[in-house]
Amino acid sequence: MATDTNKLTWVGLRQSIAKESGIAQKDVAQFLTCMIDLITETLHEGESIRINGLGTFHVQDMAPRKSVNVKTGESIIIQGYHKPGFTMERAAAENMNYVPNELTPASDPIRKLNDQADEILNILADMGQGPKKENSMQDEPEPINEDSPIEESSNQDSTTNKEIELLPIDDIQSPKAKQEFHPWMAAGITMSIFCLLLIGGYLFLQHKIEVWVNHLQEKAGQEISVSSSPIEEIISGNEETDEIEAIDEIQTDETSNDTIAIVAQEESAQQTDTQGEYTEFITTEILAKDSRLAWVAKKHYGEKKFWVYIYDANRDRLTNPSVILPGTRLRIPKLSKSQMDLTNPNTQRTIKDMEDKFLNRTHN
Amino acid sequence: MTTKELINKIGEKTGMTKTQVEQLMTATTKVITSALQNDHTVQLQNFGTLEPKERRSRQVTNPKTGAKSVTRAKRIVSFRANNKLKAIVK
Repeated sequence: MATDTNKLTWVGLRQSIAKESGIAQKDVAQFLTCMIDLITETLHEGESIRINGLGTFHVQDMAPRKSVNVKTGESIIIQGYHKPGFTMERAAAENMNYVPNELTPASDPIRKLNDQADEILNILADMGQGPKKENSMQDEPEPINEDSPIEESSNQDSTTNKEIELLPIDDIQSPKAKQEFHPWMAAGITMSIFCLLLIGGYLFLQHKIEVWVNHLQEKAGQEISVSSSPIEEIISGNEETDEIEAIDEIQTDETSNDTIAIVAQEESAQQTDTQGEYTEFITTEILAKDSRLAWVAKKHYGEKKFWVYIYDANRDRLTNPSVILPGTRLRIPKLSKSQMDLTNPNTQRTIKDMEDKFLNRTHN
Repeated sequence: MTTKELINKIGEKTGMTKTQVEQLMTATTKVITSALQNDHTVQLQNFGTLEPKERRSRQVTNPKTGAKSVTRAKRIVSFRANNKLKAIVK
């Protein structure tokens, strides 16, 4: 496997170490031979040797064991021996398994979300311990100038005892910072709560207000129609049309919702349809490392696009079409002709829909 | 034997200063690990070969619970001792 370019031999090692450390190659060579000699010596003594950042070289006792001479069939005894071995340091070994981001596209948004969550948690922690952290931050002389000396002294009296225990250096500034910080904090929190309440109240009442207005309008319309004399009929009729328009306007929202709901229903219907059809399976396939659903689809159906069917049939095993665990046993469903007909616009659309659905779901 | 002892001994043997040896030591480990991470084999004269290898994922059974699980595929470093080292350690 290893070609010459993939090999770091003695000379290359010497050169790169010399480059890295800025020490002459001659010295590096001397150092390396000496080190290797010493390691060999210690291993010879049966002792293990740990090198920081790299790992441990150790000696393993191999017990004598029975074996058979393949040529003659005689049973022989392989004598015990000491086997030099090496275990890499954990950090270095983990670095060996560092996977570049390109290989795990789906985990990226999740990682981002995690990072964001961490940030938010940090911010919240800062808010919770706000005063203390602010203290350490606000070591500048400015707050002293701003505050009146009287306040300072009074604050000191009340809080210095505690503060001295905790922060003996910051004891003069910290209470002031606390005093400064608290009203601001309180104001901010109350403001945000107030805003949230307002928004919540608006959202909560929005529907009710609409209903109420509708009701009023209907009532008004009824009254008019009831009280309408033959002369006023025309007016009332006009008003009725207005009313209808208004109602229509309101209902448009509902109807649009309905259409969405219908689409959703259709989708779910499709889903159940397709899932129902996966009663027959051609084979099962065990996913190899670095495999893709699309490749599996290409292998079995001759078309990458049909990965959606495979994913659909194996949703109990796969949580995310982009994340493939090696060793997962996939059922490959048998597809009908209509499902595999790419010239059919309906089929194309269903495949597209499924694709969107699966990929969207993973993004959420 | 630890790295410290090794550094001291190398210093005694070669007559280099301790800081120099330490510098060389860190440089060596850095070069070797980065080479291994970049999929290079590292050959050490009269000693052996450090070679990065792929370890495939495989199904394993927890002997206690009998639960089956799949190990992750990963890259490991294998060490093969040179014949000279083998002969010395034996």
